[in-house]
Amino acid sequence: MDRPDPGASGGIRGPAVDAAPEVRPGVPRVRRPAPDPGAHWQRPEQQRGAALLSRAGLREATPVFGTAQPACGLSGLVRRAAYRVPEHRTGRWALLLAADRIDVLEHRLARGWWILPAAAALALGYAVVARAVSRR
Amino acid sequence: MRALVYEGPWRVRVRDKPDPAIEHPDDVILAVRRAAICGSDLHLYHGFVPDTRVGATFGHEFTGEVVETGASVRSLRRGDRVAVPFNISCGTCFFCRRGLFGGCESSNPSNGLASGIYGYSHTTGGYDGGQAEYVRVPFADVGPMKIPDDLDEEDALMLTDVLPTGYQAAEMGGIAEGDAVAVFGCGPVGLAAARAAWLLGAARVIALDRVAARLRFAERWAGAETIDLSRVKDPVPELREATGGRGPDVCIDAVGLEASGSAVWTLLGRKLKVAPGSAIALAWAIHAVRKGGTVSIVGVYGPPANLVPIGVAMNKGLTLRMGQANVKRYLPRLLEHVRAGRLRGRELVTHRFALEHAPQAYEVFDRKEDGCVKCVLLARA
Repeated sequence: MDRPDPGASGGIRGPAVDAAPEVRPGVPRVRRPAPDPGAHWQRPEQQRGAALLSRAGLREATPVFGTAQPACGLSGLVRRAAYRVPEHRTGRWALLLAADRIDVLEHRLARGWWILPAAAALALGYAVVARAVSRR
Repeated sequence: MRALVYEGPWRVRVRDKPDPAIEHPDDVILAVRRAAICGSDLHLYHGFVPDTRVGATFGHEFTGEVVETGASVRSLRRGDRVAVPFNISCGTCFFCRRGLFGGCESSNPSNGLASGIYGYSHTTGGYDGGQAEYVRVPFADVGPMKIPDDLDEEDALMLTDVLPTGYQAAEMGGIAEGDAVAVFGCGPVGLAAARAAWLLGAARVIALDRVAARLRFAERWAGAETIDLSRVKDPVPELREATGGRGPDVCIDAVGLEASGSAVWTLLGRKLKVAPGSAIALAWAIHAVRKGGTVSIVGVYGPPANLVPIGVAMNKGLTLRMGQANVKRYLPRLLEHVRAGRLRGRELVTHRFALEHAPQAYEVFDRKEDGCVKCVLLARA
């Protein structure tokens, strides 16, 4: 073990300044439940639109939700299946991880969609040129 | 706008993306000024977090300037500079009323695990994050903190996650005056936890890592004794020996699911991914802490089950505490500490990159090259 000999309290300013429980922000201070002062609602207004995928058993969408990257394609189908599995089942998370891999594959194939027609055009061009050359 | 985009494990790019829009009356849109890369972003980057979709923009630690406000927003105006806690919290649900902002039930429709979190996969609500030019911020009257004029912006940035998470880790340890505290992991959160341990009354702080530069940083910045895990293959006996044979009173896991140190766990959990990562740091913490001691966990683990020596914890009578930081709850006290120079968050920032160079920043941070402790992306460099 390396001992840098930092002096009392590691040379850090304010040793034990938060030693008393009453100054610690989180625990063990007992906190009376109260709304945050910034909130001007009893329950937040509902975000319009539907949450894209929600957990099973959620009666309505949470008041706000993310709308980035909607599930789509084969990975989307797998994700929809996963969301129907309860969270305490390992299968849910395994399906989601599998969907993540499929998602990557789908996007890589989609990014490379031009390769097939380009390859076909090249092959066709080569065939035409080769045929023309052979006729001479 | 330009934004970091996830394209698969170990592959992020900066690409054009549609600007975010107001989707709820209490939303604001921020022009991002600074966005940090968190150690937990690396779990996304490596493909460990379920439902991380191609096209996602990471980033849950950011500051920005308000450029658009929703119809109901009262406390913020265009031009305000804010730091945004990583939890998206409504302020009025069962959990928010109790200060448990990390459990807000109004922002994550995907599951009941945690609140929504910016840029942290659809497992935490499907929000794009702040490693971009612009970002949507819901519940703007609750979460964001206006940056006081006397506060350095990078100090404010470190208040969005690093300092609250580190402090809460130490606080959850229930540190009593005179305690010996071991901190596994000398990333930014581990360093913050080590420094906070002193504030809470620790008499000894021992930091463990395998990266020499980070160990030196822990000695210098957090005043910690250090154990180099690249040389000490099994830290459990070392920690016991250092603490009179009993073990530390408190062990803090600030590593999470990608710990090095076990060939088997590395192979199964990190390389083959047939197990959800490697929980070896947590296993060490449980084995090393003294009987009746406390293990505090802030290293991130995914929802799938892990192999953890729970029988050891039970027989030793341990207290296990853990959780996502309830950032907003900690801000007032931590702001005092920052102003008093007791927690100097900005000193953790070792590297700054323009947003356009974010992929390079991820590589440097991931490989811990060049003494990298904390990377900050400058959205408008």
